[in-house]
Amino acid sequence: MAGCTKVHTEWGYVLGGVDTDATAVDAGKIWVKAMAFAGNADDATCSLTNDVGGTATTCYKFKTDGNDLDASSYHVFFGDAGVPFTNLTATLSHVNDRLYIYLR
Amino acid sequence: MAVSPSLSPSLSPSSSPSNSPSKSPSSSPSSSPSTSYSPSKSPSASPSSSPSLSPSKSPSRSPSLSPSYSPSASPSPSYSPSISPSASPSESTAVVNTEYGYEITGVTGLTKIYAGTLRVKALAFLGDDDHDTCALTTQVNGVPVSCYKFKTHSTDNTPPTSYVYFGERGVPMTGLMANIDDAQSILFIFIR
Repeated sequence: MAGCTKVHTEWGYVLGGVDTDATAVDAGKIWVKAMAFAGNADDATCSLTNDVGGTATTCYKFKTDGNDLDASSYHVFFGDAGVPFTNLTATLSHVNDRLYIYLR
Repeated sequence: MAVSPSLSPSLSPSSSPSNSPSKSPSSSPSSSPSTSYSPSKSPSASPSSSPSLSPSKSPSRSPSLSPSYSPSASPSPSYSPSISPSASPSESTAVVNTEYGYEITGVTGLTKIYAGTLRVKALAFLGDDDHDTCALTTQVNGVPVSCYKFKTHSTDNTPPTSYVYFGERGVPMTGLMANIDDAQSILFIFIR
């Protein structure tokens, strides 16, 4: 499978739909200011990895807890300067989950 | 990975609202509050789009997508789009331009907030009931694409639990629209 759908927007990226395979958000380095996850079901998950010495390493995880499709319950803010992620990759558990990535 | 050529309608509701720059005064970037705003948020506020719209509903969606994406999308039949494609965005007076940004209430369905580009510092949603929803989109190549979703917890009417902060510089959002499923709910948009 090709991974979930990714749309590049003026504010960053939104991922979701199509399938639940790991999806590369950006193969290079991006500076992420905030992320939010709107899981479409209870216990929906979103696992994120970045590249560390050529190995995909966990950099964040989301898991919903009974309030699905509420991104405000599952967001993180890294500050205006953002944090660097190289080869950021996301795996969503449900095809209708949404992952929002806001770049600095 | 390249942008998937199959942009699911689930990411881009197939409604094709026209964010006319000549919209209501509420779209004005000026900070002058609307004189027509009623702080009482009367439930009688007339929703200017289909009152039956609910982000949790899954109406039959047209797979019409942006030309930049392949129509070969396989939309998930189970996905509940944040914006019904059948909705016409409201030019609603429910959008109140304030000194801090915008307040939207007294309306259900798809509502235009601002046709141009806003730098949004924070969003907050005060749902009137449990599980009230607010789905927000921005324009990407003329197509509304999901940019945030709110769904209230059991503790409704508590915006502190339903907000997001994007930092002092904010994030750019063009053609911002909201789909609120309860006319008594309130969406706050704080701009830079």
